[in-house]
Amino acid sequence: MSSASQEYQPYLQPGGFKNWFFSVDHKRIGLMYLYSILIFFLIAGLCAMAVRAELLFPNANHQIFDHHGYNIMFTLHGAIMVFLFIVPGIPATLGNFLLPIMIGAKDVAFPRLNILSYWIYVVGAIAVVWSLIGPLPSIENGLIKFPANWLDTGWTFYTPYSIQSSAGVIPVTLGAFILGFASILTGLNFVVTIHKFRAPGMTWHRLPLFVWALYSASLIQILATPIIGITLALLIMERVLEIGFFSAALGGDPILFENFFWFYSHPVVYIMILPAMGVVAEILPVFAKKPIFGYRAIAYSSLAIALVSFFVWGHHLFVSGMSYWSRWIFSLLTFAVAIPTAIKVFNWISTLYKGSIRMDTPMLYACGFIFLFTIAGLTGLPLATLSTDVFLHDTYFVVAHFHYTMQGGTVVALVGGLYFWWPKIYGRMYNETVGKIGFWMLFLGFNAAFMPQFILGYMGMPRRYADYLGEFAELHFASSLGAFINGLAYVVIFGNLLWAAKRGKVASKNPFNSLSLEWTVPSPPPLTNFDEVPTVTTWTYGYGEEQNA
Amino acid sequence: MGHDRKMGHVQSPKVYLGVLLGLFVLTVATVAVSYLDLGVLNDVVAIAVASCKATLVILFFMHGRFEDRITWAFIWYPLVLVGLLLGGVFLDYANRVTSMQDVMTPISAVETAGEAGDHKEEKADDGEEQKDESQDESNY
Amino acid sequence: MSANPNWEPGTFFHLHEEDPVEEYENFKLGMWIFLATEVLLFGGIFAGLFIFKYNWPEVFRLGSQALDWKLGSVNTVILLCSSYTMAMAVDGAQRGKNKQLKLNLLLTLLFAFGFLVVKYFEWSSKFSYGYFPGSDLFFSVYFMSTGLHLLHVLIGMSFIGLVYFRARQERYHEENFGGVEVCGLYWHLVDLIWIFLFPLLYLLRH
Repeated sequence: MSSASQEYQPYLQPGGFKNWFFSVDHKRIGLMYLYSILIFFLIAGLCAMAVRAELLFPNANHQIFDHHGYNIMFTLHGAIMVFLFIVPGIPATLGNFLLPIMIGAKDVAFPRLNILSYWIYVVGAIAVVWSLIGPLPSIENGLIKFPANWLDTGWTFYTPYSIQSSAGVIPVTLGAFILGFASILTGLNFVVTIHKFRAPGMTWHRLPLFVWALYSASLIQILATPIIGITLALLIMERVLEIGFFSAALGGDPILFENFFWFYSHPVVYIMILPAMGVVAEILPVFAKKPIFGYRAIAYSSLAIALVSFFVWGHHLFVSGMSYWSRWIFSLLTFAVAIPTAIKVFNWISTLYKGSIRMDTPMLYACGFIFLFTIAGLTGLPLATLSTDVFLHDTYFVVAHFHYTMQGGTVVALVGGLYFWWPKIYGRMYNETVGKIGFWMLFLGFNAAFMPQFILGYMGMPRRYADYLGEFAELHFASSLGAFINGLAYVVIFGNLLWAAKRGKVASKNPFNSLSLEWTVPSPPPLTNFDEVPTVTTWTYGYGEEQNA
Repeated sequence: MGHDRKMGHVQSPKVYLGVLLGLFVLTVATVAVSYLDLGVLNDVVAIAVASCKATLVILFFMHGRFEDRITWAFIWYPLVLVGLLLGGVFLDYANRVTSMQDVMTPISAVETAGEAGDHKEEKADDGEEQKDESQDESNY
Repeated sequence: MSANPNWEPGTFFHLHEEDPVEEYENFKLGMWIFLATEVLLFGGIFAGLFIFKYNWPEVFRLGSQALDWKLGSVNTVILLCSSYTMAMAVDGAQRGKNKQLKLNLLLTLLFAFGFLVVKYFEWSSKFSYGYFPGSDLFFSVYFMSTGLHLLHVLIGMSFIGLVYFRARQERYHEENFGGVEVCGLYWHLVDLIWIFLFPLLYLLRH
């Protein structure tokens, strides 16, 4: 055994389906998760392109599919993006790959549970795709007509429509229920790993901030997901047995569904954004050559966000007939989220101050994240304010706000993280120029797509409408063009990464001169990560301090 | 390193038996209380007794008393969250305007002033018994 | 688990070895965290129960009267006894008394089976009187909560069966009883849920 471990063999070998699909290695599971979620990112992205194509011009002179088809498209876009792409987005991919290496462990606490989580993800994905099986879309009168069994409830499955709709609500909700298990198991694994598997000397206050962020997100994954589980299970029962929980006709309450749904689904947006914040906190100090500013403030604000996230779900129900006092209190509590979030942003910016900044591709993404996420956060405030939310609720303002968080925040950070750690994952460098082109296409396309939507929303354009008035035409047209550039950017971005994985220049062990533990192991890392358990003596962010020594 | 750490804790079997008897006694108590009509207190007592039983099970049967702070955090946190969910939802339900009549009274008062007045009196007279039915209507 | 030479290292059937004490502690913490998710899963139904009871006090009063509190009490006693035997099974494993372990696991399974039998009679009598999920909100809550609980009883029984199977192979002893203890934790949770379901469904008759 000892002679075998001396010999360096990257984790990518040996290949073969059996060795990958049954692998318990966290790095392989992370990669399998990555490619799985990217497939669904592509599908959901194409749905978004279809939605924007439909909205290029007012329907009077342009239509691709009928209005029911439009409902199906934005539903599939939302449901697939949320449940199959962005919730596992960073934790299950970069998190799985990096967490054990960052804390100096061989693997996660429960390697078998980890692969089980991936298998469950696959089963859940099959359940969601199953809802689409049946008759194929057809063309009638020059319009694409989608089959009636495709989901059209919106990703939120709001009752009573989700009970009445003839679409395949059950397979999708069942899929989301199953995917919840995958999410819980990943979170559980991470929490136990972070508690028990830290290398000697890796104290809580030496942990990389990405680990802190994953820990906070995992807590939410564990504690919020069961609520959506029971809610969706009850929704399925509602459709099968008519139990009446969410049906006003039987004495139940559709608003109860919204309460339960958002009790999970608001915390879940922090599952999406917290790891993204962690990625940014890792990238910034490396490229600014400065210790991270306010380490403890950033670390504890992650926990604070995880805590506060459970207190604010009511702000999604402001116009649902919720009681006056509830609205008042939830509005107040929602503002509390702004505090830890702002703490993070200020600390990131302070980290950049007087740093010797190198604008490589990952750093571009990190800075892009700060810019876009700040807009996302600030536009959240008018939505938290009761009086303005009543006006802005269910308009494009909301759509733009959460796309700035989800895409401008999470996806930008995911891509930045992939560029940053790609040399570690595959041991090969991406093309810097193409990487920068990809970033600028994404940045400009994204802003062109969603900045007009803020204005549209403010002018009163409601979301989820297949048609609009002529006065919105220019802004919708601009938004669609931006969206297409945005979509094209991903072709460049992932094309560059995939090319790098095969053909890129061989990367050194630590191409960015980072100090954290994952850069001390060879690229790509061997199966057990470390030959011997590392002992940690300093924190991760001693940039600049090393030059004095 | 691992050798000085013990694996788990052993309790005397008498403890388990005592806990079981305690659980029986509490079960009898909660059934006995259910024969008294205490109003809302019935719910409170039922939950309080159940909580005592749960505490016994967690502390002794599940060896909770030997567990560390992290484990206890994961015992308490879900309970707090269930409380939060209940609290948040109840905050909504207890104050919700269940009947659109309440909101629209001014308009109907303008249109049919006399009828609206009668309607209000009716409501007041019938008192509690009518309450369920009026909720009934409004929820439909 | 011993390594299977047919599989590459780092695959499902060929794991790295871990320190047994560490493994035991991780396993237990993992189960406690999983139980936290279970509490929240049932928390949704409990929240529904309280809200509907608040909205429809009369429906819940009549529904509660329609249930047979004697059968509910019998099931409560049965589950409490099964919890006791499960605790004694863990005690047996901790002390390396394999006989005590196996006997108590069997008793636990027996009690669990008794619970199922009582439940069967209870449900079938409800069906024969025309009470179904959806009959009214009380019976929706009743069937959803006890149904979900029943599912957990079945999962717990399979878990206990697996542990019994392994106990017969003499896998458990003073240095290795994590499996039994974790199984016990799960079974006690099944009991805990029932401890709350019983009074809330059967006993609030006024």
